[in-house]
Amino acid sequence: MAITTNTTERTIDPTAPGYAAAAPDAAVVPDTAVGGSAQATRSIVVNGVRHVVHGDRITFEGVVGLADGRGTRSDGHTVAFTRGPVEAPEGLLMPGHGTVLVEDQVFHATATHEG
Amino acid sequence: MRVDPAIERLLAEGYDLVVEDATLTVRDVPHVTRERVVRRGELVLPLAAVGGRVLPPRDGFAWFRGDTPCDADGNMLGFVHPERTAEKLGMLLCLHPAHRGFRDHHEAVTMLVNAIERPARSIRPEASAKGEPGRIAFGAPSPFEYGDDAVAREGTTAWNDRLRGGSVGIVGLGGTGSYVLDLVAKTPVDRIHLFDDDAFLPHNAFRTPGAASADEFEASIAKVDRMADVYSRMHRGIVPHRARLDGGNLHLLDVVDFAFVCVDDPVSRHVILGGLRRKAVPCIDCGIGLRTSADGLLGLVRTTVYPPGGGERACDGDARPPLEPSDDPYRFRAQVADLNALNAALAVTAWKRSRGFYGGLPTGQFAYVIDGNLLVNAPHG
Repeated sequence: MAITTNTTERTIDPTAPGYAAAAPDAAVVPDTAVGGSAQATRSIVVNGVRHVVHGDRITFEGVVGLADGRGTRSDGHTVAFTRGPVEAPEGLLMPGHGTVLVEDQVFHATATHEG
Repeated sequence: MRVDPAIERLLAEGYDLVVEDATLTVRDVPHVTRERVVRRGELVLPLAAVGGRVLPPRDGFAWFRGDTPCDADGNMLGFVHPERTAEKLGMLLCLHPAHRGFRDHHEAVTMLVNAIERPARSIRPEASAKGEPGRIAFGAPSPFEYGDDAVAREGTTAWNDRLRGGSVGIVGLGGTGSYVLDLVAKTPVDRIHLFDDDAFLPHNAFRTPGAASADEFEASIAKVDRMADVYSRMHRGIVPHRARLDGGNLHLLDVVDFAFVCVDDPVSRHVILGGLRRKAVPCIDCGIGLRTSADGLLGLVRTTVYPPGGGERACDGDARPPLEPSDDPYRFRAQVADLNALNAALAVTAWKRSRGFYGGLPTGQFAYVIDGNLLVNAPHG
């Protein structure tokens, strides 16, 4: 898919808000913690831009932060992912929830307010 | 209601008739059962009218409610198809004159009743569907200006009944809202309330079903009035409200028991969804988000279902206003009537699922991913 061709890359601070340690029991669960395992590194695509992130999970807020480049605004966004973990290869993330990260996972994050 | 001349003839001949839901029912039709007993059943024919003129039953399909009609020896009549039974209508009958359709309902009823009751007369000579005098009754007023003959012809009445009644609101008559109206107007809800304060302008026509004529823009008519006029040709009970809903007039929503929220302003969306949730009115919120890329427009088409009962849900975050103005290219650069229609179709499909028309688990939030050509669901719960 052509969306992976944009080559802007960012390395993400694993201690930044929006990144959490992997949950052992489910691919998509509510996230109450932040932080992550600094040793794990994943290359993912958010809105067509490739990012290198450290950690095993990413939250709704973390994806929106990567999408808008500012890392803070998330209200009103919709976040979808494809090419995700086997347990949940595709789906939507809700605010406060996250997903296990896998290499080359693709995220789409945009405000969906137009009618 | 004006009665068709063919139905007048049936009435004069002594039949007991009911006109309801695009059907003509003939009551008390004697027939022989497999046990060679004479019983009474009801013959149901499609009844469609165009321009006040009743259309003849085209293809010889009718339905029978009762025991399986048989000959005097208890053998099923050849034009009876009990393997094709429709809820509320009965078993399918397929009988018509050789090489043509019926001229009118009088010919159809006469031929079908004679074929069904003739065996009964061989057992009970006085058996007849005709009484003295004939009677006719009319069912509840239809929400439509004309009947859907497919409902009776194809036996889909019971499914349509699952959507019958209630007042549906459509908040915002932009691209998505106008397509929602296009679909809801084909369902037998009692009332459809339209809320919008904008005028109908040429750019609206490029994201609205159908084809507006140039003279429609001259009078700067309100969208709600224009759409109510168009769809009132088909569906009764369409009520326009030229109003932009905000915190001061949410009481206007008191008349609806379900709402589609199709606004394009995030602050309005926040206020309207909050009001509906406080009133515990179930609703579906629609929204499109686009962004540009060298490959074309990308983005998401979102549908969020809020079930009855109000309260907080995981997807309530979408009802919060954004903290900064949207830089979405949709508003400025793209007409995407196809995505509007898709958003509307997904929303109406979810509404029909909530009414038991479609099967499957209730949905919460889901989105079409444009560049993945994929429909993805939020986790249940």
